[in-house]
Amino acid sequence: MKSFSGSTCLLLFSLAFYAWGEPRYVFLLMFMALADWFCALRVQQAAGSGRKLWLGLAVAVDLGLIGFFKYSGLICSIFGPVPDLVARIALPIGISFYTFQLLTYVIDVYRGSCTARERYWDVLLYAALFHQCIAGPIVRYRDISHELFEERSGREEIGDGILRFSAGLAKKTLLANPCGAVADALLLKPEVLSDPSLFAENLAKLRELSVLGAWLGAAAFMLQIYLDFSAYSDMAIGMGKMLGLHYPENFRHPYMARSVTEFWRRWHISLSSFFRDYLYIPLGGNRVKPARHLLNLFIVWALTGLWHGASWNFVLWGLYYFVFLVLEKSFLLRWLEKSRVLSHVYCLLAALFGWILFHFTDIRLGWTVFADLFGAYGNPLSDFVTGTLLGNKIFLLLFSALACTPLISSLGKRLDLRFGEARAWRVLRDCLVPVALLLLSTCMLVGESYNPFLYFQF
Amino acid sequence: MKDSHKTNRALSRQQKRAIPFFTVLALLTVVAFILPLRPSTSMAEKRTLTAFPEFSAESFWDGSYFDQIGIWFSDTFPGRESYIRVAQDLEAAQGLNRNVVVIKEDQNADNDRLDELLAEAEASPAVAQTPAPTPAASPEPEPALVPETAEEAAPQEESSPTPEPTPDAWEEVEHWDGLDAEDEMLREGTLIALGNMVFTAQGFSQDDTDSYAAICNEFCRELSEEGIRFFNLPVPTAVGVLVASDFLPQIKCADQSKMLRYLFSREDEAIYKVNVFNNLLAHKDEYIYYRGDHHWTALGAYYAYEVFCGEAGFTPVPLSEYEEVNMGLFQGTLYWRAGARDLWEDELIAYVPPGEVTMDIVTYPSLKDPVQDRSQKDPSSKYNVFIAGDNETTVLTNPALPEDSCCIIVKDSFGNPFTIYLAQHYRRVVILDYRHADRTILSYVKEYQPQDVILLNSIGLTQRPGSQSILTTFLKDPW
Repeated sequence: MKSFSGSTCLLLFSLAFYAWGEPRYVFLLMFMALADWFCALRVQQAAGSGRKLWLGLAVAVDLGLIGFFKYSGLICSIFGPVPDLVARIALPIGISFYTFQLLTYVIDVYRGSCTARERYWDVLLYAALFHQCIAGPIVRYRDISHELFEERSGREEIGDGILRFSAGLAKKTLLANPCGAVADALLLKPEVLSDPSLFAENLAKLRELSVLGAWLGAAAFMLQIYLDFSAYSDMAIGMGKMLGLHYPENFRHPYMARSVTEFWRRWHISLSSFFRDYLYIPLGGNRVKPARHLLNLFIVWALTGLWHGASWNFVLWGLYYFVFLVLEKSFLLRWLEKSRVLSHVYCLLAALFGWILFHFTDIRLGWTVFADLFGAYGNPLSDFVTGTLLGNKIFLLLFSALACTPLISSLGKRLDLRFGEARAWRVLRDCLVPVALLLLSTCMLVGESYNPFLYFQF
Repeated sequence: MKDSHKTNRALSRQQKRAIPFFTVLALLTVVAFILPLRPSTSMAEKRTLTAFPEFSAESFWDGSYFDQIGIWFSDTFPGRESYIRVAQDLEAAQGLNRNVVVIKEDQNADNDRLDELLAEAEASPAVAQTPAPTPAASPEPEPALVPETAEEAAPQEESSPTPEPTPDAWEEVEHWDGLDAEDEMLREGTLIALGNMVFTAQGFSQDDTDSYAAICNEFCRELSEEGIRFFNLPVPTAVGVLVASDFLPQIKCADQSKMLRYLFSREDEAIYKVNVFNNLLAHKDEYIYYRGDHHWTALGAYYAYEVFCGEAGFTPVPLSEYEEVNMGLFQGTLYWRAGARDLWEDELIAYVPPGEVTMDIVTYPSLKDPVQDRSQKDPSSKYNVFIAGDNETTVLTNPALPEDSCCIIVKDSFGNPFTIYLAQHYRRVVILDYRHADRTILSYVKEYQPQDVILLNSIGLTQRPGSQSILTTFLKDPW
């Protein structure tokens, strides 16, 4: 960042933005940035084993704090009831994202891929950047440091940034939230599901789901989670472009994948590449004996699951994908290549079943919905509520499914190619569309009492 | 040089692209912070909007202060109702727009057990714990206290035809026709919209019904000691009467005829139980509930009044003796909440009572007519035609009736059109909206010396712990 006032302003607004959601935890963010700034400088200055020591200290502080704030309850639950004191620990917003960002900083300094920042405020700015601090993408220090601190590209892409941001905002408010309402209506709201005192009631309600209701609920959740999360990435990337910062793409139409392996190359790319580069490869990757390779994959996918939440269902969700990936590496990929349609259906079904595991922190409830999909409790094929809900939301669901494909963006590109210089097209694309999306999103947001993003709590 | 020119041109184009977006964003921001433009109440939703939160160190540190500011910011956004209308249109465009149905999680907890609970309850009704008040304490029920003015105004044969007999209030009705899946369902929200009607869903909760019955029993005990008759009149809501009985389970609503029977079975024998369900059902093809409001119409209230008269020993004054007035377009609470479609507009018809019935409201002494002329007022506030809306104490006086005849009616807003009919039987009808009262029922009893006390609540409020809590305080102030 060239301008002192610009970077100061960006830092102050980023801290204020973070503090708006979690005033007390802004100090935690500042402390973690301080620890990593200090350790990274020592890593750079030290020689021999001293470097490892400072790196180890930084990693221990980062993982220790995320472990304390995010996983204390889960760890205690292994040994018995969770003490009240532990249960009251609130999860700091975005801790999983900014912790991983800080880890990339200190590890890259250790690896010599970048140099440590002299000024603490620079590291804090990198960790607290309001565009992506609380919900990603996980931006590596070495990928952004040049633009952030040395030479930003200016305002050349501000228009593109606005279009990307407004598209993300609309994706969230016009598609993801209504899909979430459909999912909540059928699979119950997360706050209801997480109340242990309602377990029996929730179980009874979920058992009553019709077969169509179970499929519709799972599909709506599947759409919601992608549209919601990718919308946030769109907004972050768009806001970055407005300021001349280029964040990496986080999603590449994952539901278009034809294998689970491909799915994870398209889904939450910044997270999977983090685990690849900072865990899987250091563990030896695939250049080890088969048994060790299997163990490496197991560790990576268990931790990928655990990153998503402090609950065993998330670990199972990660391991669920581990099983698919091992099967695909062994033989399944070769079979899948034979049919585009079947491989696509297979991948969508694998993702859909996976989201059921993901949605229900109580595995028994998830299993119930899974059984509902096949009418295992003698569920009716459909019922009145499901039928009317489907009828009422059919256009929403179809358009949301369309938004999961590259069709809309490729249509935009084609129109750009064809009418790129036509004034009417430019006015429509550059002025009317972003403004219309902003206003429509405002309409959807006004009156909603609270509208949290799903990924804030990861 | 050429490259630099190109870059500048590209930069200029990009910056031009930003102008409309940031202009609109800036306008929205400026408007959002013009505090006088922020509404404090919502006419459409009939509620006070979220207030700016009070600061406290605790709420600041745990983030709830900022959460509340966020809620205030969106809830009171200038022009919010226009935005909400657009949002509702967008929502309507999400599908084939046939329907309806969002059920509150806790509202239908015991729907499926209602039959079983009712059978158990009727097999072992609540034990009478309260001696019924002696007849001597009640006003002379016969002949009906029809005001002299009404009798003089028109001969009995011409103006007061014999009313149709009301159906047996306690006859069990298993099935009835009504709106069902064959009717077009219009939209989704917290509402049920069927055909040209909008309803609020109504479920059954055993716990809430039991506790409401306990409150009624306590009322009865307190009042019987004073020699006062206590009438309980729970009002069925539109969904329970107008929707076909077989269709109710599909929209997760309870059978209100059974809900009422269950409630009454839990009440002391000494309570005068006014079961108006069957009479409303008998007239379900008439305009007894508003299409776009959660209340019943004055006509619906009249049919309940007929049943009340049967229980109280009065002869109902025929509706033909009242002057029908049409106050014009009425757009009720549900009309707005469901997205304001012409289909759900109503007209508000009121019945001006015969005789010289006057009204006194402590807070609005200038309002004297029990039926207020609001024909030129805002269509959303027309329900205030009846006794000028909900006020703490309203007294209707009919000077044509004996000096000492008096009743107190403790009511929610469903009671407003109903109370006007009572003025044909009591010289003073003291109307208490318990939600606004700051005294207990006994202090009012001491002041007004009624012969009868009537508790009238919509069935929705009988199921709501919040209103039960207010009612309990009204019965016996814990402080």
